[in-house]
Amino acid sequence: MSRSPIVSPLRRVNWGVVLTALPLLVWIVGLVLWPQLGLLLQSFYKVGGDTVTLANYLSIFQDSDLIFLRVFGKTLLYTLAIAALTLIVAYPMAFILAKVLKGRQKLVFILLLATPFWVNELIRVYAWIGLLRETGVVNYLLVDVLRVLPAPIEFLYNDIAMLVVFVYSFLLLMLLPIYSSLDGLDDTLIQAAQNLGADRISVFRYVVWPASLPGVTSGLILVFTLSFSNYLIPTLVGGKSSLWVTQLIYNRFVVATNWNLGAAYSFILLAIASLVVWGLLKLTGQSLKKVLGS
Amino acid sequence: MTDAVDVELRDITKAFGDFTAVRDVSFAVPRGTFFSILGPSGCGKTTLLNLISGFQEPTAGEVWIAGQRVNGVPPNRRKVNMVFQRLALFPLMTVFDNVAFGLRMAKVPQAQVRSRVMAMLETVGLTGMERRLPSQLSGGQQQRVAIARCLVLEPAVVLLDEPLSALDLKLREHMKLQLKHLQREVGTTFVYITHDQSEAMVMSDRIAVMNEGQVLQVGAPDEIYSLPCHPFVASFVGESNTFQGTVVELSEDSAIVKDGAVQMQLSRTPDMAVGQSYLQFLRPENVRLLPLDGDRDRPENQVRGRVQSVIFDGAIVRCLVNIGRDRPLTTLFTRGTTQAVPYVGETVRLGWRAADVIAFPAQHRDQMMQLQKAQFAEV
Repeated sequence: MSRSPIVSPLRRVNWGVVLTALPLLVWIVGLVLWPQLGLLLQSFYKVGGDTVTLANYLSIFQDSDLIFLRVFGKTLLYTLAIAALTLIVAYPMAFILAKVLKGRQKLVFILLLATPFWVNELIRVYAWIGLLRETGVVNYLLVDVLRVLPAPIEFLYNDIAMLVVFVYSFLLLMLLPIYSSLDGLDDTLIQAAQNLGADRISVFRYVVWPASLPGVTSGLILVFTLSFSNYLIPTLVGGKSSLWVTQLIYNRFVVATNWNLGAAYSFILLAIASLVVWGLLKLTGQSLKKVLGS
Repeated sequence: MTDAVDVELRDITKAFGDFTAVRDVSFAVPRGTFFSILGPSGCGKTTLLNLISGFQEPTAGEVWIAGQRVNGVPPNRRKVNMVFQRLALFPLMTVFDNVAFGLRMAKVPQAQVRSRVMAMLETVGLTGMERRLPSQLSGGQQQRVAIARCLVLEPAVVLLDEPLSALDLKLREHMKLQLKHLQREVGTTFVYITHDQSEAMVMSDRIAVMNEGQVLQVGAPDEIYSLPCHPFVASFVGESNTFQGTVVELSEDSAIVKDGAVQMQLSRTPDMAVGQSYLQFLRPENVRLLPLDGDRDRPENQVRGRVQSVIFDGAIVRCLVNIGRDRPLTTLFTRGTTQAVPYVGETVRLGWRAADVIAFPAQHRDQMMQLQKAQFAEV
């Protein structure tokens, strides 16, 4: 009697590949796509309702004082300002790191910059509170040591304090991509430009800046998206007027327990953030592929 | 060639801390010449280039370009343009923009930029390539963009820092001739840095040979090769059989020098004395294979030996002959001459004329070491 030639379909599957891909699949489907889809669906229903509606999205135009739109607009403007400020602070540092320091010095410099970031974000923000509060280090220096102020000032709980902490917190995310593109720039290109008659400004404009653009774009995108969606810093160091869009969303989810409205707000945030990223890429003439690569 | 001088170095010294990279260098490059600075790596030739282009300032001495003293003048204000070793084409700019860069920096009107760039691209044979990026060109084409980018500015001098070293052998041979022709055509003074004596020989009108921060000899390629005035030049430029011997006998116009088992006659120089030590150089092409028992051909120096190896290099044949000392004697001849190529193990008779031996007094023990170093650098 001959045995059946039928092979179980299970045996044709390459289990090695499946097992290797499993964490990735679980991650993408279970932790990204599924919850996002769930939230997206929720955003089209009213609390407890069962008819599809745009009411949650339209409600932003019906708020009292248009609070969502105003906070949203302010957050967007501030976030762009934070990205720009971080760029201004990080660029010279990245340049010195890539083009002035040599070998071992670079390593020490990067290590010194990175060490504070081994500590959790929350702790670092508390450290800033320790620096800036009325009885903090800065006030102690100004009032008791240098005696330039008659009495301590409250530096915390306003927009400037918030911007300072934001720029500090995201500095490395801007610095490292710019450093990496500048480090890849061949020094002889700078010499060649000088040799062809370019002054310092032209060397920067035509050689250094274009070479650093992928890093700049990547830094801007990282700092923009992460500060746009940040909750901790505006909550801890921002003032009463420094309302951030994430706080508004938090309120909808947790305080008002209106998950449907919260979901709608979240998707508006996501859409606008994506739009700004796309705009940044267009503006700098970079592709997402190139920027991710850097 | 006119008497005008495009580059002149006067007693240039450049020190980096304790290390003196260049010491008391003086030479002048006449207008329109292809001038090479030849030397092993680390001899200071790149430092010289940086001093001329202005990337570095000399510790002492003066640099003159086109009749003007340029000490302290920054690189972007010197009428000198440079072709870099790794070319340094701007990777994000098209060929056109690369060539136009210098003109735009000089604020030349747009219409003129266009016509001058296009004319220059035609000169170097790159018409039609202007919209490409450097990465889309072959090595030879990139080379030409780098040169066009300099020439379009009509500089007094173009400096070239071993621009051929990155190319493969065949393209390098081709570019050697192209560069020479291009230089003839445009008539611009070229200062070319190289450690490759063949590049310098093929292309140059004049060569300055450098070693350990000093210029040892400046002259036409033929002069450098046949009348070297320093043992380093003799050993670095071209191939040589070297000997170190002592003068054992002097006559009116000749001397006998003995190096171990080998004794040879050479032309006498006025300062020779018996007992003095001498370095001798003998070009392989001046060592001739003679018939084993002929009588007609009798040069002053003759030696017998056994053929150790025969090396064919295209048209040229090298024979290494063991003449009873640690290093074999090399003889070199072209194929197809009446000479039959000897076989390994054959006993042959070699001969050379006294006048073909180049001799220098061996002042220092370390001179020989230096020469051996130079020979390694050649390989």
